[in-house]
Amino acid sequence: MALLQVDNLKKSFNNKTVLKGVNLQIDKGDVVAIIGPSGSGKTTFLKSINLLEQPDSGTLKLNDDQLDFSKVTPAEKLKIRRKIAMVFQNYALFKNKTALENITEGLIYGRNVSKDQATQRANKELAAVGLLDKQDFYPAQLSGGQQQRIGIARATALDPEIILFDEPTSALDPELVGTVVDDIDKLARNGQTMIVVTHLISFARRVANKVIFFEDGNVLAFGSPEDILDHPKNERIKQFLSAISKDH
Amino acid sequence: MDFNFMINSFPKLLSVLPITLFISILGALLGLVLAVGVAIGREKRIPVLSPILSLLVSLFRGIPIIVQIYIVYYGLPRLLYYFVQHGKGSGLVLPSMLIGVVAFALNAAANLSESIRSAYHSVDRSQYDAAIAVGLTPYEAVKRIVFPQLVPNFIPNFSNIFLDLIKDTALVYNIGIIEVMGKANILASFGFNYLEAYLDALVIYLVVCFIFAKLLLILEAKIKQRVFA
Repeated sequence: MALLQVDNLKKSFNNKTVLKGVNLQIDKGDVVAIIGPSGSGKTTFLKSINLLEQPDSGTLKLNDDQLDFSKVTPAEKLKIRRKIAMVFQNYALFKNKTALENITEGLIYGRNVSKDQATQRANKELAAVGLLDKQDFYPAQLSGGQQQRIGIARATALDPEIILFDEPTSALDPELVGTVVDDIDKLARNGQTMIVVTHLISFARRVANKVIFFEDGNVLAFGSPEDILDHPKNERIKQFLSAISKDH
Repeated sequence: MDFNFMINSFPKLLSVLPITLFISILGALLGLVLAVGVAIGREKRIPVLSPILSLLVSLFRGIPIIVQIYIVYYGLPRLLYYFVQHGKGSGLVLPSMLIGVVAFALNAAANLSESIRSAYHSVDRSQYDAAIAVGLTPYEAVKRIVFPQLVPNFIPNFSNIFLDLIKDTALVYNIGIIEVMGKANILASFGFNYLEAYLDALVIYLVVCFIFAKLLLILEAKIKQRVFA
């Protein structure tokens, strides 16, 4: 049985249709890379999965939980969000909280974990990303790479069914990209299910086992990295990949 | 220049300073309460209510406060009279002080609600999204993440509006409230010592505004320190 199934997801902003009926099915342990040109709806799709964007219609099934986007209640939203975690492009750390508190916040107030247990867990996650000594630092005192690794620790601490990554490396200095990619790769090896919107084709090739190509609000292609990235059949994908490779 | 007059008048002007402070502080506090409601109402984009609030805000921001004071002063009793109708006309004389405070509160509410909105937008949306994404309810996300960061951003604007309010109290003399400016006019009128009286008033307004500006600056620094470090 699929872990996550999204059917016929549609979304428009002010009469402009951004997602035109997207379907997706992923299994436990999948690492799905979503690629495609800017404005194709990748990020909107990602944010629809945990309802940071409210789709107009479609259905979502996560394990045994099912919801209809057109009539979703606040309680259903909360339930889904508490099984999914997210890592943001601009890190989106809570600037009024320390590194440690950034991680405990969701555990204490989103998952009803006791403060002691949450602190213990947060320390473990900070150690895992090598930032235990920065636990009392505020985001403004940390580098972009450090902030993003805390963003990842904040997500993994929640033991989510799925982690959503919205272009996790695109705001980073080129020399910091590697460490963040390593962290995500480590998660993949541990069997963490992830959906990653990215512009880094090398990253998709290295970490993902499935690749989705988005174009104009539709899934143009869905398959293994080899099929999509190495032997693309679609002319549009060939053109996109060659345009990207010229820049890198 | 009659320096003796200046020196003798100064304590007399100081004696009505509490009235100036009463109107501006009470106006600011009532205005703040209203402003929070207006800002929430506008940000939530509630149909019908939000556009009305937005219209009221631009109305109050677009009319000089002296005109607002006059309209409340002359309009409110008539409005009440209209509702109460016969017989109680004599009981409808509203104290000037009430009218002054109401006018200031409404004016402050319009300006403060805009400052609250701008302070709210200064906290980037992705932090709210992140709070929602880790499983906080929208209310908790605002309370624990957005609000604490909004407050220090709000204080500089609040300070500006509050100082304007203090200075604008010089206008309520026009509806018969004897505050610093009113007292200065009265004292000056006996011997035509207007310049001396106004120089006294100048010193008082300047010092009061300076003190409040400093206090709010200290408050801002203290809150920033609590929130961000």
